Amino acid sequence: MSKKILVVDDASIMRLMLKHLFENNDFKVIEAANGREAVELYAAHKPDLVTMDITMPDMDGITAVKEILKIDASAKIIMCSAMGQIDKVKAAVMAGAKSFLVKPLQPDRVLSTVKQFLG
Amino acid sequence: MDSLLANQFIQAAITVFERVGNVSLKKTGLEYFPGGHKISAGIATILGITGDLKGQFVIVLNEDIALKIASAILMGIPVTVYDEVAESAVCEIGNMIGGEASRLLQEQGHFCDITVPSIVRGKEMEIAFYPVSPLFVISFNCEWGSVKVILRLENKV
Repeated sequence: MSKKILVVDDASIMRLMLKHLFENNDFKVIEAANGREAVELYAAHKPDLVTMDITMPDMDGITAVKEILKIDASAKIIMCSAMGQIDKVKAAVMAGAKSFLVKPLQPDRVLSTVKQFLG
Repeated sequence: MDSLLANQFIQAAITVFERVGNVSLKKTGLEYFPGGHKISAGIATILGITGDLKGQFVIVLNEDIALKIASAILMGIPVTVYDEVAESAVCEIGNMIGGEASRLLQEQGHFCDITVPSIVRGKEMEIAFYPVSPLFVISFNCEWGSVKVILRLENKV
């Protein structure tokens, strides 16, 4: 059975890029355009993994990571952000993210990271 | 304004275009306007800089390049119409350049954040900045066409 990935990004092109990448590699994809929507969709669908942007309207990615981990302490969340400053990476890891990928995303790197956590 | 700060945005733009589309962005001009300047643009994404440095930077390009950026982000899927996806690509390239510039600035001790991008598009459009403050206008060329980066900082003058 295909693993389910929740893609969270306010940029429609990034959601589209990741959706193509994951669906072409036999993953199922659900999408959220901000952190609040991501928390709601996580609770409803319990995906196997989440890719999470940081800077988003309504609820940012770091807050969303914390909220999702309150629902499921074992949630696997990979940050995908253009903001690769060391303080952002530290904040994401401290919040509970498993990994941090800096945009522009390299498809091979995204897939290898996802597969590392999904087996 | 310290030109070393402008150099971080130049390097960030070159790095991001290389990573997104394997495209070599070449700097063709660097103009400094101590009394401000109005910028003509077809499509422009505007991002704020907050933190140790305050100001804005703007990426100016045209529709053809926007479509090529969108296609490159989508791993080669053709994008032939300037729609919401292409617009999102322009914003995202601004985010990526801002993110990379922030990372480089942090290495120099300047802790900055980049705000969510906004986008403007139109014929014979002019962008003005108030209050008037010094501007760098950096021109680039690549196989996709020409791109400008405008940097306006309120401090470090």
